[in-house]
Amino acid sequence: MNISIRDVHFGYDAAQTVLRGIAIEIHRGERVALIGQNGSGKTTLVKHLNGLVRPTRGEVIVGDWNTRAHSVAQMARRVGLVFQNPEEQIFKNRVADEIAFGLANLGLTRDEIAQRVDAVLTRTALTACRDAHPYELLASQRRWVALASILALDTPILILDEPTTGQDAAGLTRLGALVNELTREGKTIIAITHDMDWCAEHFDRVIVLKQGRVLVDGDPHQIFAQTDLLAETFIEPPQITRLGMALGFSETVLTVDEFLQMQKNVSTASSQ
Amino acid sequence: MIHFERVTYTYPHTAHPALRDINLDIDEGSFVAVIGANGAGKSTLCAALAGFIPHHFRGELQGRVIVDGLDTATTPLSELVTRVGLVFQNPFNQLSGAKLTLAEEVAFGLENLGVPREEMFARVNAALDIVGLREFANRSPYALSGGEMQRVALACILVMEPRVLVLDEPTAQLDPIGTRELFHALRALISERRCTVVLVEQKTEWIAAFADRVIALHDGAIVLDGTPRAVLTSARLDEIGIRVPRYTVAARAAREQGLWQRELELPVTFEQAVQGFQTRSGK
Amino acid sequence: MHRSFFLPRRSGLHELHPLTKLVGVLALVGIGFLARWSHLPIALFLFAVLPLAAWGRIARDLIRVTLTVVLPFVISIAIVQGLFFPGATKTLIDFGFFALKEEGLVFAYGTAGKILLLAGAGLLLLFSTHPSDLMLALVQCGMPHALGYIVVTAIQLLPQLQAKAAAILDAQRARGLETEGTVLVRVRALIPLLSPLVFGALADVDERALALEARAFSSRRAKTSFKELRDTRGQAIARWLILLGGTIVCAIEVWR
Repeated sequence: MNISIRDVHFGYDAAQTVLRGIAIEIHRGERVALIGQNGSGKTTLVKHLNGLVRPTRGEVIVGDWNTRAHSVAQMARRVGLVFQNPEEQIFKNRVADEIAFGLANLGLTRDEIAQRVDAVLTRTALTACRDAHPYELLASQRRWVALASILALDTPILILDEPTTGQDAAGLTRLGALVNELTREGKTIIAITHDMDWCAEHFDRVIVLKQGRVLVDGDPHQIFAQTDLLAETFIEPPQITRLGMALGFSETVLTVDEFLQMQKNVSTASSQ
Repeated sequence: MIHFERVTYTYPHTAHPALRDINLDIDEGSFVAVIGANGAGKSTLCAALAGFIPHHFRGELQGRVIVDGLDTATTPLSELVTRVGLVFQNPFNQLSGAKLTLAEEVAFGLENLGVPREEMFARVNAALDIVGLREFANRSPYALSGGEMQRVALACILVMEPRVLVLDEPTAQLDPIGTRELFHALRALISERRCTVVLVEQKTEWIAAFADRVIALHDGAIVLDGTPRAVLTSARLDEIGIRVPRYTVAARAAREQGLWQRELELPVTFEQAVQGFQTRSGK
Repeated sequence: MHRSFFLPRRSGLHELHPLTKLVGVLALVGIGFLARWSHLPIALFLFAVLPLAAWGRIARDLIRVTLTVVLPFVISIAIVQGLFFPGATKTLIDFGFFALKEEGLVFAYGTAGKILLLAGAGLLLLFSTHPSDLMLALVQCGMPHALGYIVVTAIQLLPQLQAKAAAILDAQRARGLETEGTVLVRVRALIPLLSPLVFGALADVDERALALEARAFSSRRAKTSFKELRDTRGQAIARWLILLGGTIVCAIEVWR
């Protein structure tokens, strides 16, 4: 399912324009990271994708649906959006019920719901917390509950708003693995993040927003090489990338593997 | 300055202890980082340090916690908070919600302590200077970014001149700019005062640059305790669920492929990594 | 992002001591509510509240809030009273089943005037006085410190609650919750919208309590104040005069 953002302009009122002419095409199965300073319009942009916000000018087409022509509840069948604060949506007394909430809105049978909930609990390593009260869990676990509740909707497009906040090493690994799995299944993942290291390791496309406009859009190898441009919007490249630059690599490296490959080339070259 | 003796603590209505047999001594003036997976007991340790355990959180506390010569179990909390300052994760919830300007907000703690007004101005200004927000003294505390708000929260605690400053994941909810600003404020603090700092952090790259000592918690117990370089390069970090600094990961993998000198210690900071990799290439 | 009732302006009204304003507002409301003359409340609103608001440079905001919030409320009361006032006989307009009665409208006019006066005077106070200043003044008169803090923060944090409610609405709609349509649909949407607000508010209160504790809020020492409230002898005298005068007028009205 493709996403087409066509010349979108948006302002909450006449005085404040948040988005100034965004044009982006996202294709099925892409892993897109949306980065930029606070206030650059990232959250507002993703809210356009499920119709929570409609552009003042321009169109947003998801699949063949124009967001203007469909309710948010309808769009929720195609676009799952996981917000930053799980506390702003959790209201059930059991984790399993919380996850099942959206499914009831989809009109599934009780058995189907139970099956999906079980599957999602396993996927997010929350099976042991099935009957717990969400507020008895750690804050980081509650974030997984919120994620699970959207995952259960099995939407072709999944948007994550700052998913790495508060996650420890295990959480980050699981999150990354989940992103990889989901795209292998053909889903499109869009993540707003300010964790550049995590971003570099799991996403094949980076879009940088600055003051409501797209600054750059493309392969992370190219994007993170443009240190001056990124510095304008206070973004630092991933640590491995910076290390590679400091060592004078001719190419941008994003992961430890790429780094080692370059270092190997440099070593063999220098020993010849 | 800080002495934990056989401390075991269980929250009310829970079976499993959150802290198990903690024995710890921290000297005055040191900067100690505490790391661990979520749920390992880091926040519990902070609460025990500040006296919120046992005064605010009931539950079962065994052993003794002595801070600045005071036993936390027998000293009233209102006395303890003047010795141990605690900064939390959520910047917004640490603001009083009752004050119009930053200066008034920072002075709030002093008002509660009955400090004379004449004395307040100097202390408020000093605290705002350390966190770099002096020029915003007349701005509303809510007209700030998350990072700035967190620095205000820090100033609000610093103004009370605690001997020990405990920070529980202060950058968890901040973006990279806010994180950097907070650490700069901490750097200013260290150079100006003889404050003992205990910092709980997940971002191990920052710890390596600041801490004299790193303690790793796992399931309520201390499993590693040493210099940043010793602890953060330990092979055990993966199994106890702590993020290993990227530089360390890269160097460790490089070593296995013969791209990092065997005798050379693994790096934990950017500078150490650059140096180490350049050595290999014979530069 | 953070809004509050208080509107910072440079004006004589803002400079007044909070107690002066409080006493003035109470007197206005007291006299307006107890007086016999049915036109007094509206007269006080037009000739006392509005000029004071102009002096405080908050007239435009005051009028705006009055028109958008208070007036619709007042009009609906007028309609209800006009149609259902008990014991009314003089019909003005007959709609067949219902009739608009004169006594009802007269009563409604009186009520409307009082509401307008109350709201106007209240806004006058809230717009020109920062809650913490008001509380400081009251605490200096003997009100318990903790109570003052609770009231101030309740006022100040209302916008935050509103923002949270909006965020919750977004999150639940994104999960397929229908919020518009029949009454049944809206009722079903209440729990998913209100529960997180309550849970979240409680969790926040928990965190805030800790943070307050860490700033010695429950210390038993006598509290001092960073901010000084400016007061003048003139204002102090005026306050006593207003209190005295207001009490006398009210007593006279009640006696009659």
